[in-house]
Amino acid sequence: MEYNYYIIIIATFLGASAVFNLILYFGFNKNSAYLHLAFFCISQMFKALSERQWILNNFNESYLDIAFIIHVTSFVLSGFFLVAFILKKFEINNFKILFWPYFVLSFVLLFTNLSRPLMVIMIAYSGALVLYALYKKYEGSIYSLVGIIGFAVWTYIGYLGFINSGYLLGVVFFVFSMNLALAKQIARQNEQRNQALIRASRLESQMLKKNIQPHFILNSLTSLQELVEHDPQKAVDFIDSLAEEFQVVSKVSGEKLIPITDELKICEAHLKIMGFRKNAEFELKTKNFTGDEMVPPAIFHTLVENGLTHGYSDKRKGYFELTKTTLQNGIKYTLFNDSELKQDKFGKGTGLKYVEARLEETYPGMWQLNASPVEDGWKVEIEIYNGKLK
Amino acid sequence: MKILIVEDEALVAQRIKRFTEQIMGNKLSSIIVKTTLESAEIHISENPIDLLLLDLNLSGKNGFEILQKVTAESFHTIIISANIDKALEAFEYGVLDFVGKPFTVERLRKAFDRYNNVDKLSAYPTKYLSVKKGDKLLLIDITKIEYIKGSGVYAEIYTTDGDSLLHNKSLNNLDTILPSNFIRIHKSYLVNINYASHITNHGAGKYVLAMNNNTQVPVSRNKYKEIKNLLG
Repeated sequence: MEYNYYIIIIATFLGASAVFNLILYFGFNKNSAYLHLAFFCISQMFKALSERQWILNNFNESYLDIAFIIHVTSFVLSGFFLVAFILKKFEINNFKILFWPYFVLSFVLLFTNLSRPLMVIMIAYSGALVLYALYKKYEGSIYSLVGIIGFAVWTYIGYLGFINSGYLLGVVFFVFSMNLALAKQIARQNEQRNQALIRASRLESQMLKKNIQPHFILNSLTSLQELVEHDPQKAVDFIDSLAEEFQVVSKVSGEKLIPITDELKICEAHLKIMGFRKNAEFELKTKNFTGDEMVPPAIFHTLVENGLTHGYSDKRKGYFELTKTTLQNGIKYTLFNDSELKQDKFGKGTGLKYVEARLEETYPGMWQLNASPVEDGWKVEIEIYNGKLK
Repeated sequence: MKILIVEDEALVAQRIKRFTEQIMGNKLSSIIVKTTLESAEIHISENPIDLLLLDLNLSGKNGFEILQKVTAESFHTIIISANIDKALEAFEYGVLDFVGKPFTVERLRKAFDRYNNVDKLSAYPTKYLSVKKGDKLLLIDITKIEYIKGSGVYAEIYTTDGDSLLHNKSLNNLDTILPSNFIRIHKSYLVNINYASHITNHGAGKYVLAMNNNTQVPVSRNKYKEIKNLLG
């Protein structure tokens, strides 16, 4: 009777783990590693439930033949799923190259009817893959190593005859370790996703704040006061430009990428506003744009703003030029302005940090920004590549 | 009266200038607008001024450095800024007034009233005096000032530590920005009444205020009664 309970507990655990991994696969993310682990558990469950002793205790001898076929089949299948699981979990490339040798090997062993060598090969093969993952420092490889070692140790103890069905206990130990590792990995991924969401909303609020920041609005209102009293027609135009900037900004604030045409509208509205306030004329020219380009919101606006606040205190005219250049492996945007900006002033202000954060959010590790004085002004270059920088 | 406006936005500069002319009328002998602090400094070094109307972005890194620099000078400073949240700190550094943007002519008139000593109450008390010493700026906690002696266009500050420092502002100008516990007991003396001990009559219209550490400071005849009452 004790043996019966023993098998029931193990089978229940394996069944529950299979369900857990199936839920993860269908409900959380369609990573086939979950599926492979679920099928590994199911195969092992069948293997446990087709053991000779269990059949004899609960059925009768006439079932032994069919039970044997189930036993061997589930055993062989469990090996495939185990190897597939490890390959998928660590995203080891060359899946085929590493999977097929095992497949062939287990069939050869199957026909020699030697279940012990198959057991050894299964654990050794998996162990080798896990060691490779550990060497590559893949996430969760330590848990897998512990799981595999536990698997091997329990199996060996069982083989030596100290305990009954050591192999099944090894399976339970391994599955338990893997479930633990998966749970940890999910928790971490969740955390990362939340972080990304927080970052995105922080960028959005930063952008809105920049455009409705008290300093900007209060200064604009002061200029407006003066225009209302002295030049009402200009005051009306000024309000128009302010509204235009706010309208486009509120339209694009939640986006990760916006059409260049919207971006240019914000820039032009801003240049107009500052032109009114500084009694100056600011002009923006673009070169080589088709109008279909998409860019992170307000990056050029921020750079234009930076140039304006730092470089035109005495000038009554300003020229900005945005050029697009196609690179071999990406795109380059160059923003030039004819300001008298001094090198030390550009620095790493909040403006530039915003632009860098936006680029990193949309093109992680695939961009470069350089700002430097040129002969007759300032130049900011943004390069966006098709792939990650080495 | 000579006024310098530092404001890099043309419309706002025009507004400040227009209102100032309207308020000061013919008391104004010169009014100049500069767009940068650098050009303002050059102007001041060649043409002494009485009042600086300064647009200052106090949220920036060096806003308060500039504040410390201008308040150490002989002229009064009125800050006109959109950083309204920094008004209190600006007052602590001893600016004459802080006008938040946007503003009306009435608000600016109030600021000029303070210049003309019509309105002596400032929104927030001054806490520090910025003093030039060589090419360095010292920030003195005014609770450590015992008394100040007028010395021509300058003023000598005597502290409780026994130091004396020369301030570029006149005694009159300091009187305007210091809180009410600083009392003008004599045309050449401004004392921190918190450090005064007792007053004695030496006869022949000669009155002397003894400070806690026994320093003797002369008192004007017409101030004697007021001080005596204050000290009980």
